[in-house]
Amino acid sequence: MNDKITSRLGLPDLGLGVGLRNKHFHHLLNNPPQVDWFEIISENYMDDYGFVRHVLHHVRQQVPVVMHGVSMSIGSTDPLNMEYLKKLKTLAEEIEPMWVSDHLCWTGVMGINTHDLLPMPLTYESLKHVADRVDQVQNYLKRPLILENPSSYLEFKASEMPEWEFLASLAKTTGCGLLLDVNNVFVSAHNHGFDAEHYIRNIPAEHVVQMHIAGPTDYGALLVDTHDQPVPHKVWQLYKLAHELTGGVSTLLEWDANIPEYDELVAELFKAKKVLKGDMGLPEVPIQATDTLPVSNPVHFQLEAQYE
Amino acid sequence: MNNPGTVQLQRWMNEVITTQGNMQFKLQKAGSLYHLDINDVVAETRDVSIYSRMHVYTSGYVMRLFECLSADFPVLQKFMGEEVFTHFANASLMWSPSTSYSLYDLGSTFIRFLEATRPKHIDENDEQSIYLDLPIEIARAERARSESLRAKGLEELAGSQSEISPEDILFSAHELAVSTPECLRLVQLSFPVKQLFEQLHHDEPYEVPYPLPTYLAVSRMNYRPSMLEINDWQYEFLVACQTPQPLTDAINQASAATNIPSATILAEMCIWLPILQSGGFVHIATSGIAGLFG
Ligand SMILES: [Fe+2]
Repeated sequence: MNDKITSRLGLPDLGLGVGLRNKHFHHLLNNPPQVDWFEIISENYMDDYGFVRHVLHHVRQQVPVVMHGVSMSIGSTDPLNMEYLKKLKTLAEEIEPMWVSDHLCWTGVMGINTHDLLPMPLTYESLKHVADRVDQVQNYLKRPLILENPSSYLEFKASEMPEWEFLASLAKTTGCGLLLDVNNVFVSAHNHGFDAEHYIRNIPAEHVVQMHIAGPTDYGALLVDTHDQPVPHKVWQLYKLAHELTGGVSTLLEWDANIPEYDELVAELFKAKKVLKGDMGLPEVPIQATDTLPVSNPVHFQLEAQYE
Repeated sequence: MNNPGTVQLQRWMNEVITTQGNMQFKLQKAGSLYHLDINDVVAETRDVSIYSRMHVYTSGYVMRLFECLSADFPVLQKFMGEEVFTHFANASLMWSPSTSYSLYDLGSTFIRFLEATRPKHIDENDEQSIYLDLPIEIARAERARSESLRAKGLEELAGSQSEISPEDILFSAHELAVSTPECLRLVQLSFPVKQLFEQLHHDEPYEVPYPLPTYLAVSRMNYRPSMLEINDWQYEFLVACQTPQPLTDAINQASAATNIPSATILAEMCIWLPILQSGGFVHIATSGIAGLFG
């Protein structure tokens, strides 16, 4: 842990964590967590007072928790959903997370939620719009909002700047934190033909509070963010670079479909230790390919049965 | 052409994603509403067509949310079969897109969809109604079960609740007070689905039940679901317990609603109340009504 640097908005480096998933609930009630911290999907806990909350309190007593949302829709041109923000704040008061994050995206307009993380037109107009909303949310939650770069499959002709520039401006004007998903950078760089390293070097390192690592799927000409694979070699490379630039921040392995058993998940996460030590080569993991279009941003794990 | 602003771009893309039909139809409809053509909206980079790029979002939308309904209704899916379930689930997503921050609300829309699209001209006595109404009743039971698993239960009180005995009920009924937990669901169904539900859940062979008005009580204990098929006085008793009150008052209320003597119901309670208690259907306080709140 490196708490001396005043980067990360003064937030701690929590070490290595994984997402808290229904599949591992029984394991976690009966075994130590092994990881340094957990990330929860906020929406999955807001209205659930059953087993998921019981497990959440159980792990929260042992390690820090971070709240990661998927429905804030910070980039939407609909009004902010105050009912949602109220529930988010209430949950945060109960769980006392280290921070609250969501994505630079919109999930729908005209009252609709597509439950997808849709790409923003990267214009000066939309930058101002998002910055105003980040201000509002930070004032309401009384804590910095941490925003993640999403993976994307299309770019708008209207866009006036690259995503890293948009995020850098947003972070500097609002003081928000960044959740740098190096896999998403890798996916988008491939899909749009930009240089992933250049992207990462242009993100203001002092605003990076957390990183995500994950494994995407190769669907012909496009890479799709499926969160269902081991982390491939090239993502580890980017992770190492981001680690050097940031001086080390909390790292989370995302694995949301075909979720492995807990020990396997933790073993995949702990590859990060070897990568960071740099005393051996990066894991030689290729990217899995498929002929059928896979689902990006899988979310159904949130509804999977919690008992047999 | 003026550069479209964020509002126009988002409305256009939202429409493309949520409109039913093939890509051509989606683009036509969104184009006529928001005066945008995909060639003017989506940048052409690398050698990937703009249609393939949009397709990741349009097909991802349906598949992602289908996976949610599939995870939320495993028992119904087993009954309907994968193909039929897929058809109904996808149609439901197009019928009424989500307007909630929560994926969990997709399930209530799905049930409303099944109810709204049931053919009206077939009445309950018709043989066909089994195939039209039974899936809806299974869906309602499954929804009641998942709602119960998410609501506040009695787990935190479990330690402080002592097991009730027939002697307590017969000789100290006046000292007992009853209430129901938030996780209790009472459902009126037109088929007795409990056995079928459990057989489907455990992948056992099953027989399709005949229509019969049925009451289903669904709750949980120690985070595990419990389900009981109950008769009319039992139903009335649980309805009465939804208002915290002395056991004898709840019994009298069930008696008045069903014309069954209170003494008969009290005698039945010797067997039934412990079952309700262990399944988490009721909370019982032995120190009278004040005990429910203490
Ligand atoms: Fe991520």
